[in-house]
Amino acid sequence: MRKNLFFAVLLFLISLSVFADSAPIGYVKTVKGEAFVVNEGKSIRAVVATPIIEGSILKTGNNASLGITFKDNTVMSFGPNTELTVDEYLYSPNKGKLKLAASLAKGTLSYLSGAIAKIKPEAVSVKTPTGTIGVRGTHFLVRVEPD
Amino acid sequence: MRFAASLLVFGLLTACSSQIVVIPGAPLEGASTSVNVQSEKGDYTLNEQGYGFYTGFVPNTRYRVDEADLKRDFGPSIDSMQEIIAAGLPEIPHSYVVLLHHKSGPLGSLLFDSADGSMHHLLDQPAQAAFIDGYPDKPKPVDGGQLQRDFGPALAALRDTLKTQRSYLMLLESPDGSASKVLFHARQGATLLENVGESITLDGLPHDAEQTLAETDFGASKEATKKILDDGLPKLSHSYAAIMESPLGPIGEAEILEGQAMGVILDQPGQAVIIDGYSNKIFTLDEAQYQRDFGASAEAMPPLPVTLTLYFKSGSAKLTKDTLAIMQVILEEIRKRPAADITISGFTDTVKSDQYNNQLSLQRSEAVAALIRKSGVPLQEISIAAYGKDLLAIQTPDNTAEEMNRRVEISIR
Repeated sequence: MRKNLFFAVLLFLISLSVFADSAPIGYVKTVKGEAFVVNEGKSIRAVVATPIIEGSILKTGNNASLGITFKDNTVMSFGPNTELTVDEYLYSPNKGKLKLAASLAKGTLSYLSGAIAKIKPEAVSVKTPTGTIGVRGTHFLVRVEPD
Repeated sequence: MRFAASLLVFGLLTACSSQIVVIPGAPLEGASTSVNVQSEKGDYTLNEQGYGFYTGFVPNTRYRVDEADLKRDFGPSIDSMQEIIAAGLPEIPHSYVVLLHHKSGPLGSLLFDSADGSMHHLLDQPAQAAFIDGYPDKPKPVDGGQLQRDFGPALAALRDTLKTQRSYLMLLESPDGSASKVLFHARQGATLLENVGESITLDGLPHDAEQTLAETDFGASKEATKKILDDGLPKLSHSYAAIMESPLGPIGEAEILEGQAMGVILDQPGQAVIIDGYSNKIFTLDEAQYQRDFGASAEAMPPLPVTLTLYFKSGSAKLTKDTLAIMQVILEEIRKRPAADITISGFTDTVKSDQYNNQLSLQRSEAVAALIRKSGVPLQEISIAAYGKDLLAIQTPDNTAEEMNRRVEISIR
């Protein structure tokens, strides 16, 4: 009984860390040049290990690039002059809560699918200024020219 | 013609003071043969052909002049007059006004009132003309030859002025020899220009720009266009989406859900579609363009995550000797990744209860986590998850022992 209680508390703590808004959903793994991550309105210079959270805005400058890996093994990388917002990220495989929605305002995105796409292909989408793309592929590219 | 006859009579009067004679027959059709004589002894009108009239001693008496007398007195002058008439009388130059039709608009009309109020002419036919020098003739058409003679230079100047003043649109040939079409909408309606050299004014009226004029107006811009094309157009850059060969297996597909390219599905390696809102062109992304557009992001691609699986004996969280070997691989994968973070997920088979298995799966995860921590390998984050009997690797009925389900999956990123 005591063990069960302990287990329940532990699971609760794990859940808390997964679902709390500011819990990292991924990390910056590569960075070149000037790149920034805006978390909850605060812009920080991106370095390897900078955490990504739901709602993060990722920006790269001229000649800059950035690569991130999400908790579900989704990999994204960006070329120069890119701005991407992680609109929604849900990864809770046993509860079927799976969603990855991002908005590319400008620049280039290379995407390699992870567990979310594998379990629920229709859960991945990329929004561009001219429309939304349902990404059910494993290796996807999109480029958005600034106006 | 009355005018001509009067002149003749005047000449006769000065040549012979004693008599006046009306010549037999009129030299020109429709000419007047009436003569008014005013003298001290009274006025007299002679209006029959072939009669004479004495101005001296027998006033106001006419007599029939015989042919012989006529020939004697007037023979040479009549002969020379006949010669003049045979050679053709010179045309009298008139002042006149003419109504012309220009294709840029309706004909309109023209009203002429003489200064003394005696004449009113309405011109409402193209090329219709009226004398404005007092001759009462009715308006009549003027032929092109006369117009050209009288107004040639003025008309040419007008044409040139109109041409140079009008704004117009002209279909020109591309430097590469191709030609497109232009549909021009004006108030009057739409006009399609489809032949090189066709032009239209910006008011939507027909326009006949000559080649030389087009050369004057557009020569410089044509040259500039040609130079730009010769130097090479900058490559248009578009927004586009593409799906590629994947290191992860089948390429899957991507579907455009909104916008101009809505409904387009990409499912071939390298297949791309323009998504800039104007086009839905599908094309193949070649290596050169891939490198140009995505070279930087490809270079920034982090190492691919790996997921390794460790298996456990039934009801146990103890690692086997085989799994210890795999641990070395795990540590190596962690070391070669920047800011490596891992997720350790524990699972069980379906033997026994949910509660039991939840706990067992957590123990399995913790056992692996402890080993990794103990190794001292640098880690950004360890996430531990325990799924118990959820997410079976192999579907089985409840209470079924299955080795493939008794596992810990470790994802290394």
